[in-house]
Amino acid sequence: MLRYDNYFIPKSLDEYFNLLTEVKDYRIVAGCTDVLPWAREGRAGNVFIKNIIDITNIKELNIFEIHKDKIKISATTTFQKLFIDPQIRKDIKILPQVSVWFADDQIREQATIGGNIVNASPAGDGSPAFLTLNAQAIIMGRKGKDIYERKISLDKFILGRNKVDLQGNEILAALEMDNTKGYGASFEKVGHRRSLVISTVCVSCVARTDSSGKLFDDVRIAVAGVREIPCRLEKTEKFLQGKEINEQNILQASVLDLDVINARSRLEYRKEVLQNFIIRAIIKSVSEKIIIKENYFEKTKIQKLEEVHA
Amino acid sequence: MSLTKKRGRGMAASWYGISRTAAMDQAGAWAEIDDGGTAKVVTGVTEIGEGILTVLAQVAAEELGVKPELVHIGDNDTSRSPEAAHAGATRQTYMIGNAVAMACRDSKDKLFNEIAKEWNVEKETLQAHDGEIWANGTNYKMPMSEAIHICKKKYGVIPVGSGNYTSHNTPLDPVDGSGSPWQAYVFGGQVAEVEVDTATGEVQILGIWACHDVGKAINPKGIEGQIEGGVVQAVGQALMEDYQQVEGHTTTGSFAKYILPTSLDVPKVTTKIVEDLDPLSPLGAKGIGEPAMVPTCPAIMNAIYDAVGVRIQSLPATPEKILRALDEKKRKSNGMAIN
Amino acid sequence: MHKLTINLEVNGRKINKEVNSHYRLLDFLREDLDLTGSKEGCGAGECGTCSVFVDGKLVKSCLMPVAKASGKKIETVEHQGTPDNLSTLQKAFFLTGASQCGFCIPGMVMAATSTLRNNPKADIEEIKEEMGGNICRCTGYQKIFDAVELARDVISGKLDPKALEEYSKPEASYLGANVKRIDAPGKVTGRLKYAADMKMPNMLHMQVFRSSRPHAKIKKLDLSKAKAVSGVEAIVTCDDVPGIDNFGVFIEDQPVLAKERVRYVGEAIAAVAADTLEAAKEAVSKIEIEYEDLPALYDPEEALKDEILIHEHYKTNLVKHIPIRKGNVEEGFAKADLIVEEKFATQPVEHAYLEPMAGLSYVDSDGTLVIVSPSQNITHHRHMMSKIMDLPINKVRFIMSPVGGGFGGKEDMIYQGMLALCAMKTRLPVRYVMTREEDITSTAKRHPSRTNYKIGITKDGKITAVQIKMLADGGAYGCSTEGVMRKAAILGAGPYKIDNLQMDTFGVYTNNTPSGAFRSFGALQTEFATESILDICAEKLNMDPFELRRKNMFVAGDLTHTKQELNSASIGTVLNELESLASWEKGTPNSRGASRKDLNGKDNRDSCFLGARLNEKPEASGGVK
Ligand SMILES: Cc1cc2nc3c(=O)[nH]c(=O)nc-3n(C[C@H](O)[C@H](O)[C@H](O)COP(=O)(O)OP(=O)(O)OC[C@H]3O[C@@H](n4cnc5c(N)ncnc54)[C@H](O)[C@@H]3O)c2cc1C
Ligand code: FES
Ligand code: FES
Repeated sequence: MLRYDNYFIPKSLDEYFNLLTEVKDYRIVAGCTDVLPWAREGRAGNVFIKNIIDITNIKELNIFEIHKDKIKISATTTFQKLFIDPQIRKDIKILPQVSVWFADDQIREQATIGGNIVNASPAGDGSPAFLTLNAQAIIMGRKGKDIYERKISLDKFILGRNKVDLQGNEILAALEMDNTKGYGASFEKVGHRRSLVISTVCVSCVARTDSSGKLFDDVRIAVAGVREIPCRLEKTEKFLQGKEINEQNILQASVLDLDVINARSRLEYRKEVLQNFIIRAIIKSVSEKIIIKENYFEKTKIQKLEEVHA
Repeated sequence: MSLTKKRGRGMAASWYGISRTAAMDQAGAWAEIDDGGTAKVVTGVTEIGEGILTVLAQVAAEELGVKPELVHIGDNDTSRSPEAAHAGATRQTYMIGNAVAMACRDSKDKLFNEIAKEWNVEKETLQAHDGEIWANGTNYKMPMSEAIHICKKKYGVIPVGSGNYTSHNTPLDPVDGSGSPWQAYVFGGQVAEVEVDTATGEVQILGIWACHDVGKAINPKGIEGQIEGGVVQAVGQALMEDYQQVEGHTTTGSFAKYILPTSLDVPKVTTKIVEDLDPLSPLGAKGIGEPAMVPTCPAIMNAIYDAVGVRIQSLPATPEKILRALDEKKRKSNGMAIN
Repeated sequence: MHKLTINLEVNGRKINKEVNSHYRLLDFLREDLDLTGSKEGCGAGECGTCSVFVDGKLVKSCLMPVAKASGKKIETVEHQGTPDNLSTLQKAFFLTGASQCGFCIPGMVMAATSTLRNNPKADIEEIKEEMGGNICRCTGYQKIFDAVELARDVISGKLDPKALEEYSKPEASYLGANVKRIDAPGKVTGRLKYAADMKMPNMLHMQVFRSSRPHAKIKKLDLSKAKAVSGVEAIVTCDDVPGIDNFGVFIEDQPVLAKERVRYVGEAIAAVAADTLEAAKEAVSKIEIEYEDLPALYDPEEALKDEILIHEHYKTNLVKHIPIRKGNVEEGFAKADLIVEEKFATQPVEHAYLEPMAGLSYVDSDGTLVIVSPSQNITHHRHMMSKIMDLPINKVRFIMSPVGGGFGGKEDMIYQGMLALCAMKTRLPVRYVMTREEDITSTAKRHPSRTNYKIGITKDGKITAVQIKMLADGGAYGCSTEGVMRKAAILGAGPYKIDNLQMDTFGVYTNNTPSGAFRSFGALQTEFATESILDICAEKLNMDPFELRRKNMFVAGDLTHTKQELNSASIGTVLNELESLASWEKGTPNSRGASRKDLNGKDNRDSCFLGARLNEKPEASGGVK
């Protein structure tokens, strides 16, 4: 059970930073969907934090801008907003796709993207999607009387399990990401069921072809669930750049980054699924027409790897 | 990519015993035809979700000749209601249903004694149904509300009935196990259709066809509900549920870790009820609660084998187990050593 | 306790109130407003029994601090309709029989309401996705989906509202009629009170101090700091038991609260009754204990060796062995053309009834001890309780409250003893509600099993002999192990005529969570093995699986495995009906999925992909520069 004496809901950044100078023992919350389940038996148990500071009503954090090249959305944006917003659905397809796999409709009404990133769970679904959009974390802090802002790419912001690069009174204010209008997208996730499911492996992919539709132009893939910190698959992406879209190239690409896996358990399983997901995600993002021959999947893991390396 | 998704089907049969195992089982009930043509039934029963209150209301309505919505069933209270023993062992309809039927017959008999006097007819000609009472072969007919009024006010009788039902189950011989553990047995069978994704090892159960003998089906929709629910519990056991401990410490101690089927994980269930009436009990009904889930897990494992040629003999068939088994199978068929 | 003032609207009523500052919206609704239609099934966002609308959006109220709800409009299930004036959806739930235990149903009604508000034309895939946050353990969801589709069609005008009233009154008999469930109106409206929804004046709250060790001696238990917590009225331990402190369904091996020794992690050691839940929790956290760890057993095979004993005075870890012998298996195997030997295993399973364990106890004016709880076996519980409390049976009164799912999990007596001790000691009403986590880790499970199976069969499919040995982990206490072993043994070989049978089931003690009664009670484990191995045989014999079963099935007059003559055996009819119901294509079960013609029929659901509400299927999002 989470117990606290005070629950503050500051309405502006000034009010927020002032509060932080006044109270000592505090915790920031947004949607509370990580914090409340955390303060239960089997996890943190009974927790007492004197002050809870809810950031969801800070007016400066009410950002939702979609520009031609970039989008900027506040950290307090909920996943349900990403799921239902028509413009996002049209142009940044990866976001509704990750959202539909995220928790359930009700949790998504509360769960914020900032909470998801800052909580930095290895199985978190949001970050790999944001990584494929080249997300920049916009961080705000106050030194003395001056509110400052700094920007850092999301992959640098996430430092480890439950660890991000926030100092002192800093707060994750917003994300700035690419508008991927015209890109295809695919989100692949597996756990033990299909709703309210924790990722064992998840893969986000956004991609587009050149104008002929024959060559890969820009492919971005990121993974989570299989390692401490989500990451992009750089070798895979680089390999595909400018290459012809065909079965052989996709299969070859699919094995280049499998060593990113450093999960503590179910390694073999994760490796095999990750490769299959990479293949599936690339195909779904660029073209339905590529068919991987059935007999490829009939082979063992080892044979599959040998074949593509040959 | 749907090439990685393979379908298959499997079947399994089952049987089950009704009521307490290898021990005498008994249940008691009281019934009273009440003012206004309503009825009161008191027995040791509380709804646990299986639909027993509705079944008992139907039984009482049928036996007393009143409308089911006018039957009130009292609370289960060890100090205020007759003993009907536990809510389990697929014994509710069989044991308590029959006890209530017997109590209602007793109550109705008492009412009929007085109405036979009133109309000066043979008791055997009297019948009651759906709130009316009449004497066959005559023009006598009146609402139940009037009959109970006459019974009480004119003849001074409150038609209180009691009933008991016993299942004469015998203990097993300690050496060779022989004995008659139940009076009534039910049989069932299910077919499962599954889709296995060989890229992830995920199994989706698409359809279950379930055929069960329940004896007399008192409320067919309720029976369907029991079968659908039982099947889905078994889907959980077959695919995802797994209570785990490490050196005695639970590692799946919340619903985030102990995984249950959601609305996106369940098959469509098509049910067919077989009614092989129990020859020994008044209602002929047997039961369905537990038997509903017995054939599901093996039907699913048989279907997975049909789809992808791997047999999971240790439940649950998680995606990881399926992929591992697939890999082993491929190695074997390629003549490689299994590590 | 710190308070804050909130201003909000609940079900159209304006409310300005001081509340405990740490309350979640769910606590506020249940404890302060008595709106107990919203339930706490998990407290962690995982089940949906607490779903309510906040400013028109459906959320899980167990994950919302009440302070967040200030200034908002809240709508709970109590606002959707009353038993005599049901909403369209509630009527549909009533008609289709969508509620069983009913514990998930208020949340389901809310999720369905939200789904149809968001899209009155939602198709079945959308309905399933949008209701994916609400777990139902009873219904298998099918009748719930039916209800939502029915309500949708009525709302959209596709169906006449009369379709909701439809109820075919039987001409001749009520037996065999689909009479609508008489308990449904109270459930679909959230009006039915389960134990945790009940309150009494001056009621205390109980919390339990539990073992953190799998097997240990209790060297010292210090309650002094706990007793000093303000609001604590009583703390009970095994020393407070006035009568015989041993109970159980078959073997009386369990103390109400651990005595000298703990045998599993989660075993109750002491119980605190205090005037608030918070005080009770705090007191529990201040109980101090010293253990001396003992070697522990986690593996039933190890347990059979009796090197470590869980209950020393029994001199063995064997709880029960049930043998069944018929004919002569050696002779039977000698007649077989094919002998198959395989191993099978099943896992421990949690009942996961959505209503966590809860109960209320008080002492009546005439000194009768009253326990209100969703127990599945109050008849037996009162016997045990009268011994424990040293009271005549007529002074022990059990009332069975509506059960929010049991499945056998509420058959064994678990917490009732502690509640009674607290009520007797304080002479005040005491309520106990387990959290989901506490319930999962401390209550009984389905017996995990390992089965060694040997079957002999002739070329033409006649079973000649079966030898089965099943070993089950009964955990730390006997509970229903004996009965489960018995049922597993009697039924395990399946509905088949087997002249030569040797069946043995063994249940043993370990230091794992106890195993107990669970729907299908052992038969599920052993029949799983039988039905799997029969398909293995069918493949080897090149025979259709229905055919193989028909060759061996019981007919009326046959002797069962326990040599009982069957007065009737419907298995033949069942198999025939099933085969045609499923339009089964005959054939050997040799992984012929790829070539079978009976797949993809109309009675399947579609393979589930997520994104029914996205304009384009994820499959088709190919992007071009
Ligand atoms: C039933 C359930 C299902 C779930 N399913 C999924 C899933 O499928 N995929 C998934 O990835 N996650 C899932 N989650 C986890 C959770 O919902 C997400 O991580 C969510 O995005 C967290 O956001 P929040 O606003 O609720 O965070 P909070 O709980 O409010 O906060 C989380 C942490 O982040 C900090 N924080 C929040 N916002 C900021 C900020 N702007 N600046 C600095 N610090 C901040 C808080 O101090 C806290 O430490 C699930 C949770 C539940 C309960
Ligand atoms: S989701 Fe709130 S109690 Fe389970
Ligand atoms: S009716 Fe859904 S949990 Fe019981």
